[in-house]
Amino acid sequence: MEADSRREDIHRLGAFLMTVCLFSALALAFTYQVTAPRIEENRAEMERAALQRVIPGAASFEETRIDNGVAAVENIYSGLRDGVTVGHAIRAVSPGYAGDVVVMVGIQERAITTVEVLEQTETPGLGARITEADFLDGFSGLPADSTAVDGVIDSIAGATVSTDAVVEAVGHALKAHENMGEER
Amino acid sequence: MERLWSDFAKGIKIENPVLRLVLGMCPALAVTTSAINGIGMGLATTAVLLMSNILVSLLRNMIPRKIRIPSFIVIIASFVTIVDYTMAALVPPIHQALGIFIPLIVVNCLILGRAEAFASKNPLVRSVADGLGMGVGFTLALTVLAAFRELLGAGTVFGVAIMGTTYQPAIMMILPPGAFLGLGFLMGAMNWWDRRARRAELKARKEALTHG
Repeated sequence: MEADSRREDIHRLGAFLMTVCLFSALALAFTYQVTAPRIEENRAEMERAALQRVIPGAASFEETRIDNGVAAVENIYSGLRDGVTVGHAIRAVSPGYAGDVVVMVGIQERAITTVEVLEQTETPGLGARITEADFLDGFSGLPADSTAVDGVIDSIAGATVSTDAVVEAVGHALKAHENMGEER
Repeated sequence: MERLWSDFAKGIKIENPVLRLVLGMCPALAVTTSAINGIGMGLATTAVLLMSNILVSLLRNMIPRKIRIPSFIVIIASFVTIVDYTMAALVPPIHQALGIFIPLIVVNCLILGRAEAFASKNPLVRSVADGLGMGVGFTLALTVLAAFRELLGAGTVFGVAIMGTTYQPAIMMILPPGAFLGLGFLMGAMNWWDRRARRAELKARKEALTHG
């Protein structure tokens, strides 16, 4: 008798919980449908803005598919102006203190133009300071050799691991740039 | 009306979620490294809290007691995801700054706590007042704590330099220990204020007695 009512109870409770989850799934699917294009747009816009900042002279950008032999380098873009390549932007990644740090390095005329941090989940107020201009300006103007960044960048106090992640990612980008060699 | 006001106002002082109920400690300690993060986190939490209080209050007579907690969690998790997507679409910079802490609102005991202790037992309008009051109290506490830590740890408040160039920032204040220190000072100040107010009230009552 009691076992029967308990079984019935489980069915009733299970059905209720399923209904709650169903409505929740519907609400989420709807929100996703509405926001996904905007989120994708924001992401593309941010990437384009970053490209524009690291290769200031370029009018359009094109992804180059050259095997560069560096696993940590995700994409390489060429900045074009009147059909001529005016610089390269290299997207590279390196593990930081709390997840991957993704940077974009601009290279023009054999020197680094600017470095941008595209994605990071470092500690706010400490590691997250790798996104500040004071720190990133240290890379600007360095020659585009794979050893150029070794030991010349001052660590941010309290954020050595995050600093090293950026330096390493920039190093990967420079290495990839070197490997591209004549194919440029 | 008066009861509605007290439902709202209790969240700000006498039952402040951070300084009195000591709920939602994870974001209170983790994101309060700069004042803007404190406000952003506070507002995102308030939005989720308000929506979950509304829905839980509306469904309070339908949800079977035995499975109320899983139901609440599904509702809260859905709203958090909605807020997460909406912020990513509309305010990408703030969304990026708060990063991992938005999804973590799901496990903020403040929201589940208000659903269980208040919204599941009270009508809609009172639950709205409770959600808003708790949200404002949470936002205020986070912002004050974050501004205090930012001031000592970086010499700025809302990114504006306050302490002058000769100030050597006490970096410890924006490191995890600073969160505990800051919270301790803030709770101490709150207790002192509370006790002083209570003593003043007692004194006034005594005087009224002797003079009357």
